[in-house]
Amino acid sequence: MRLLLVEDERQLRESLAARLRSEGFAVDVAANGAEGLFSGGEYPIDAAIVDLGLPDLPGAELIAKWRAKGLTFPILILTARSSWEDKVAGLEIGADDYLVKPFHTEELLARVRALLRRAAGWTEAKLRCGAFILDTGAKSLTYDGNEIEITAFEYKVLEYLMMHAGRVVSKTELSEHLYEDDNDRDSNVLEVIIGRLRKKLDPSRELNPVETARGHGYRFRFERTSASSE
Amino acid sequence: MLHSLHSRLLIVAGVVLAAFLSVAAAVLDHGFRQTAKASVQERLKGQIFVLLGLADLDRPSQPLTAAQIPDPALAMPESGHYAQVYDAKGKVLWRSRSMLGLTVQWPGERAAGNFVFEDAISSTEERLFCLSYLVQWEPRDKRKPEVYTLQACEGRREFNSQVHGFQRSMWLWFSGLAAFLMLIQTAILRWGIAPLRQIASELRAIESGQQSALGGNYPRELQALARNLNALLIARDTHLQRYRNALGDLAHSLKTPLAVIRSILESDHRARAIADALKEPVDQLDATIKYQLQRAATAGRGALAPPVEVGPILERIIVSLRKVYHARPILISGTVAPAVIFYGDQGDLMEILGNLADNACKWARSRVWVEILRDKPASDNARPWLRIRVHDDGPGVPPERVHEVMRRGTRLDQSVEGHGIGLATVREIVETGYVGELTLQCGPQGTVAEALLKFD
Repeated sequence: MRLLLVEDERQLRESLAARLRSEGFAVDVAANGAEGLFSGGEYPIDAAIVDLGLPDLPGAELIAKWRAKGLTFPILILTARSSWEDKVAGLEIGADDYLVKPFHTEELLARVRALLRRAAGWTEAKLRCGAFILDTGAKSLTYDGNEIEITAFEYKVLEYLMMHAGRVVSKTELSEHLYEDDNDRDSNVLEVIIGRLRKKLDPSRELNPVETARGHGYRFRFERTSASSE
Repeated sequence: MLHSLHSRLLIVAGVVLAAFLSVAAAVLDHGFRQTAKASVQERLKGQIFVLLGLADLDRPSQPLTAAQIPDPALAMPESGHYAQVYDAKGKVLWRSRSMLGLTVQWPGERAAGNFVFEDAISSTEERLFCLSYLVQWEPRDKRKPEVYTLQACEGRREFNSQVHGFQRSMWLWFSGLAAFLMLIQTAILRWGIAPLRQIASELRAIESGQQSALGGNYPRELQALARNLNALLIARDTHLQRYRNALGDLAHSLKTPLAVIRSILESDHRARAIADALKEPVDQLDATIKYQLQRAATAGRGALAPPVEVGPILERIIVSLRKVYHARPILISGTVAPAVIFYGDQGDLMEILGNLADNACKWARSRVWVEILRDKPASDNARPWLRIRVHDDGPGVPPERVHEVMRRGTRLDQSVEGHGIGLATVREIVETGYVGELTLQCGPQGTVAEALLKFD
């Protein structure tokens, strides 16, 4: 999943970006509102984290401009102002959640994941597709209750595919949402990862959970299921 | 009634007018009585001169005869007009026929040649004005001069009738005059204090939120007051805004470094020991900054604060919370009783509602609902109080820990971010800003946080 972090305080920006990357997110960073405005419109962002107190273009105006452009990705605002007037104003202008500084990084991660799930139509931290359950909190995968070990990058690919289960995801889209840098994108790597995932998810080659839509991309074949239907 | 400036002035004007008219009436009455008495005196003096001219004092046994008396009133019994002549010892030598059956006391020895005017009472209890004149008469036979007293009296009936007539007429005129003057006075007062009425009316309009400043064209004496009041109103809003902006900037400059510290400590696994050691002081610092800044930002009840409609504010808070708690299956709803108005700062109301509802959302299992009601104030003239009840169906706080949770920075469950500061903030705003109280009632059905706000 690709995030945009707009924060003018260098140390906070770098430290947060590092932590988010370590959690498997692709992170674009912007040090001011103008950069944030450009990045938000230019890249396929899944969610943005925006500091309200930006020096050049206040965070609230940045969000308003994004929304005016029709950008609908979820936005988490970071604010030092803890008043409800500010929080409500931020949420009314188009943000989806707020976090008051100084926050715990774990809480930030939980809120970002919740926003990403919400944007994709998921309400729970566990993504359930058929008998496959991807726990986004614990970063674990199970099939019929049996744990399947996957690598961090395999997790990122599978998370994106399961998040958009039932929909064909092109290689370009997948790579855009998984890599920050264009230079890192290599479709061969993706094909290898998909191949490894298929072996791990379906060793007997009976289920074919990740199917290839020729010339279009990949699709996680199993539809979403709710917890009660397990 | 005495709280009205107009009534006060009218009462004072009425009292002064009544006092003035009473004094004027007393002076006029006294003057009229004196004039009437002088007139009686003159009349009696004329009568004495007539009697003196007619009397033959050389014949003291019968100085006058009935035929000589020209005034018929002196011949008619109980006519109220009497005359008599005394010798030096007070023996009556002659009395008019009108004195048939009555006597008037001898006035006593007086100096010759002087008129003495005095009140007297006849033997029939008739009140009289009597004028006495003592003459020293030298008889023709050269005897030693004799002293005689001529006395003419007049009953007070006519005098009293004149006085009463005058008084009736005077009070009639004075009553009319007083009524007319009061009407004029009322009109003058209304016209004179009309600018004050206008100021009062405009202040009410400002209080009710219909206008933001005094706009009337006031007389010179009130222009400075109106100008200063307008400046005060503008200064109040801009000052509060500037103050809050400054607090916001302060919060930004204090909290961002804290966020950096926390982020670095939590990101670097090698610094786990340092992070654990610094966690509590950083949390305390954060809680103190949050609490003190919010405390400083509390505006409270303000003079001429425009009323805030509670319904739209609650709606905004609920919509925001539904967005924030979208991932959790919580039903958030609210009801506002009709005509509920908050007479204070909108920011304070948002803090109270936001913190209480947010706190309830953090603990609720499936439902949070907010009730806002009007409450009867202590005195009839005061603005209605506001009662905010926020219910949740969460596990609640044990009764013995309710007091603890209301204390600044207390967090019962560390896993729920932000709990504790919110309630302490609300308590601070409610108690210091609105002389109210915040209570927390916990039961098996959940928790009810209730804030009572007063605007007296």
